[in-house]
Amino acid sequence: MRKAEHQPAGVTGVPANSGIALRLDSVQKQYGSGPATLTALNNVSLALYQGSFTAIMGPSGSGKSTLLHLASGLDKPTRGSVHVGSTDISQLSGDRLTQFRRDHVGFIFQAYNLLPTLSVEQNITLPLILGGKSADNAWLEYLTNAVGIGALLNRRPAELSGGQQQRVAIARALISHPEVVFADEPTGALDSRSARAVLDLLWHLARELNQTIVMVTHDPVVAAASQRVIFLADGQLAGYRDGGTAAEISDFMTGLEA
Amino acid sequence: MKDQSASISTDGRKMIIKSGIRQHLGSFAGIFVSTLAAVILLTGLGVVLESGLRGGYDPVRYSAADVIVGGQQSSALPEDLAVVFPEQAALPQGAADSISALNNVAKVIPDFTIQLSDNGAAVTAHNWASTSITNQNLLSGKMPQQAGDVVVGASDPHAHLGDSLVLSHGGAPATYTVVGTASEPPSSSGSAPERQVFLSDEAAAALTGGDHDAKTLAVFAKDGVSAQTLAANIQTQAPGVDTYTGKDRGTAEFLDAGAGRGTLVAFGSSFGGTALLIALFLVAAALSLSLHQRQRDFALLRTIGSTPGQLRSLILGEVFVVSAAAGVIGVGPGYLLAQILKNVFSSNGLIPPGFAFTFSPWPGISAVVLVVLTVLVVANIVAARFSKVSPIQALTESSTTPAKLGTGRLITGIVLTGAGLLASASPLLLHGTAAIAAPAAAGLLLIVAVGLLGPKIAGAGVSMFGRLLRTSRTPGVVLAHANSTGNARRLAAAVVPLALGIGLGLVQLGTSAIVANEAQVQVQDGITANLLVTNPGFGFSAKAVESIKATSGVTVLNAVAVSGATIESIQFGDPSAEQYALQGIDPLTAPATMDLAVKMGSLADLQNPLTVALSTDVAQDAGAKLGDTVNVRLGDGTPIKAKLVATYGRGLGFGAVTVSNDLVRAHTNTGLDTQVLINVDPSKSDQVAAGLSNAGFVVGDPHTAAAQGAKTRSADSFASSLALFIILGYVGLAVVNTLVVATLERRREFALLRLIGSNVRQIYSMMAIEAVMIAILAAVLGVAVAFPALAGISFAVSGQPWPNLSSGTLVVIGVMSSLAVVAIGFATTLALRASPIAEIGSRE
Repeated sequence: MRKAEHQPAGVTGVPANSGIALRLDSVQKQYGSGPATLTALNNVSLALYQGSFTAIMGPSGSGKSTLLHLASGLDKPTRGSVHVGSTDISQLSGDRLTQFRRDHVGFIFQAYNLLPTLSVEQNITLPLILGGKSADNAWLEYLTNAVGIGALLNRRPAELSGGQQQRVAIARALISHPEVVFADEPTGALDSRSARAVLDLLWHLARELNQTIVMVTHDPVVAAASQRVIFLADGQLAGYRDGGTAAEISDFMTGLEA
Repeated sequence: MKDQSASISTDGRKMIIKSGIRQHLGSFAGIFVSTLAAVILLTGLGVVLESGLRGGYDPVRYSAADVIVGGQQSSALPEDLAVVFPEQAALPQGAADSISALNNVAKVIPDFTIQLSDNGAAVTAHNWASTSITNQNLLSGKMPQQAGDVVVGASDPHAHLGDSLVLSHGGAPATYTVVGTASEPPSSSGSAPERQVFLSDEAAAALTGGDHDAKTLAVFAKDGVSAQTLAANIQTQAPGVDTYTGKDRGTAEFLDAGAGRGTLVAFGSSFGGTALLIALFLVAAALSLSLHQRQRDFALLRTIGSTPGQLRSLILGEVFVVSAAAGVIGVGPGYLLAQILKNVFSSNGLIPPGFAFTFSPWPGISAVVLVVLTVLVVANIVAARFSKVSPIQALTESSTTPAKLGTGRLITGIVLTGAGLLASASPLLLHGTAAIAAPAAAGLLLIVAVGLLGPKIAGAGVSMFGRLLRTSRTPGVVLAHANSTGNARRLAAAVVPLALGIGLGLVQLGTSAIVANEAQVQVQDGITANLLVTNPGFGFSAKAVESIKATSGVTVLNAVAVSGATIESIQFGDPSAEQYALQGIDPLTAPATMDLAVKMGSLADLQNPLTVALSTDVAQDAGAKLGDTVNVRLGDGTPIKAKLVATYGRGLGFGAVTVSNDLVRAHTNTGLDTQVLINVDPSKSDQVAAGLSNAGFVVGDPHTAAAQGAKTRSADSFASSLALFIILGYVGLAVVNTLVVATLERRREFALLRLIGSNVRQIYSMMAIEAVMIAILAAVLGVAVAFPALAGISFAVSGQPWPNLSSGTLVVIGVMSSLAVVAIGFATTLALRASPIAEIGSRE
């Protein structure tokens, strides 16, 4: 097991390069000011290759949610920069940031991923509708078949199982060919069988569609499904591990918390 | 095996109820607000009702008398409200003498009250004997004995001992000599002191209307005799009189407060009923929305073994706790509302100044009991639907399914709609006042029908809108379309109450506007005289009318006296009594000055004694044909059997009952005419007008004449507008609450939309479309509910099916429907305040 201090996770200082989907450079995030300042993330740099499936783990309060928000453009860093593809999103604001997220970033949440009044198809194409674009039918068909919901397009979310709903959310996250898909505890609300199936699906999508996926989780079993696990502790990178088992990841986490 | 699921322990049930309320505070807010407002309203209206029955004035001038005796002021009908006569009733012949003959009577004093004027300012005259009722003494000079003698108050600013004083009675001036001064009368709190003079008993009697007898007697008991005993003795000794004792003596003293009482009773009871009806629908809507949101909880409870009965009792328990709390809190503000209503009423002349409201605990107690019971009954019905759902069905039934209505509700709604439409069309077949009453009732039937069928109708309307929106690709429109077709129930919860409010408003305002408008049109078309002469507040004595007639240039004169008449007839086998406006005309000159649109017979026949003319509607109601005998009670309640000699069309503008002028005046308090219509020699028109103006009269264009009953109508219409305003405020409050709660509950939906790339503008535009859709549907449905009734009333009243409505109706539509837009806009802004990620991150 390598320790984070000696071997920073990911790649730092890499020049803009077509192989890099997400890059954070010396990102710092502070909340509040003066003596009450809380540093949620301190000097984090990392780069993720296109098509990688990365899990971000850490105990609660370690800054993993903050990292997700900054990387996905939901929040802006106090210092440092965030590149999604070749765009420095830390320079964008307001509607342009919203628009960028809509076109280049996909999201999957733990729960309440779908609008109950929209059909499955409408839910999937919602980012396109919001952007005033029409769906590429071939892509929609391919995608819905790939995630296994091709026959459910006219249903409403309430008529689907939890696992099916999460597959719809995955299809929606992918519909606009995003640079990166961010998943926040995507299996948190599922039973273990459905969770396994969703994780397998993400793994396949990353590999077959060369889709970059970043997943935040606290569950070592879930993290073990990814190619690489990056650990966070106290707002800093604490190490990484490629292809570990759930038990190994759990041991590493225990070490961090100790 | 013992069935343990059949009853949950009381503690367990309490625990579940408490946690249920805590968990769903938002959805209970609707029930809480609706109940609270209903209790406030009903408490306030209850106080108004009770005050109409028991409130009023404390006696002032009569406070020293033991018993006040007056004529029989009302006629009792079996199984109906008593008819109260508009003019003071006469005492039976010889009543004063037989009362004086009673053993325990110390003295009997007649009281006369006459309205005089001094240069246009009001002066009240009493007979000198009445000073011993009020314990006023002669301070200087002597008491009035001759016809021209007057005693004034010691502090009278305008007249002193020895002065001559010109006082007019009914526009005819007379010169009096001030022969003495008297001490001040007992002061009343509240009302401004009036200028008072005393005439001799004979002079006072001569100026009073009717047969110049006193209509009120103040009776003083001998020592040791209670007022109640004396009153009972009087009732036995002189049958046919009304006696007043204690606080009730104020009723006899301020007889003109009677109209105010009627208004209060009508206001309190009719709007109390409407408020309760509206509360019923609002609570049902709020409850059904709230229970729907909790369907999954119920499914869970069913799955783990609770029976539908248990579920229902849980829901009822929750509703009881919430509504009882709201009810108790609402009582205080309810009494405050009554106080506010009292101030508004008296500042608008609906009740005379100084009229006291009765504040007892009963209105509050009955409001809470009535409202909580109503809420529980509604909850029982609504809960039945939710508690019977099978667990699996409840778990899978999504929030997007259209509202399902019970068969009973559906059938009732359809039957009421049919009945409402039929009743609206009844003026096509029926005539008479029933032709107005039926469509007015139809309005209420249709409103209730919409309350019942509303969710279905609103759902249909929403899907119609959906078809219009479907083709659009604008993101806001696409989303709004999906939301409205997918969640018609949510929209219906707002549309139905708003539509009810609009419908109610239109029927209320529209009906009075149609009647008032037609009355005014009839007067404008019906007065053919050249000039209209009035003497506001003081009227015309016979002497004044003679002097106008004698004015050079006046060719025709028709003096008109107005009062109220009661027509007694047999309706459907039961005796019935209806009150109408009564006018007295000069039968010979009337045709030259007014066109009543006579249909049959001739007004000239009114010069024969015991004859009457009726509007065609009233003749129809009374079932009387030309030549038949009609039972009429004149203003003071005197019954006559009169022959019907004419029927006419313009009853709404001129009064539905017409008799000769003399007959009306003989049975009013004042014995005066109200207005004088004259034709003049065209060359002397200006001269006549100038002369009459100099004499202190008001000369005007006859077309500006107010329609008969216009004053009462405008007071009634003010009262009903006020009530309407309050009730619409109530509806508005409940709808705003529903919309705010429903919109705030969509925070997660908004957050999700923002996270996947919609901007705030798109969310606003989605919500704006939904809000406008609610507003339009509510307006359309509201108008659709009111229109049949209004068209029916309009046809019955004016023969035109297209109702002539006031601008107030547009205001009602506009304000009620824009409430939806304002409430949703406000709630959307609130819901968008939190950062989307915080919202979506908050785990359920």
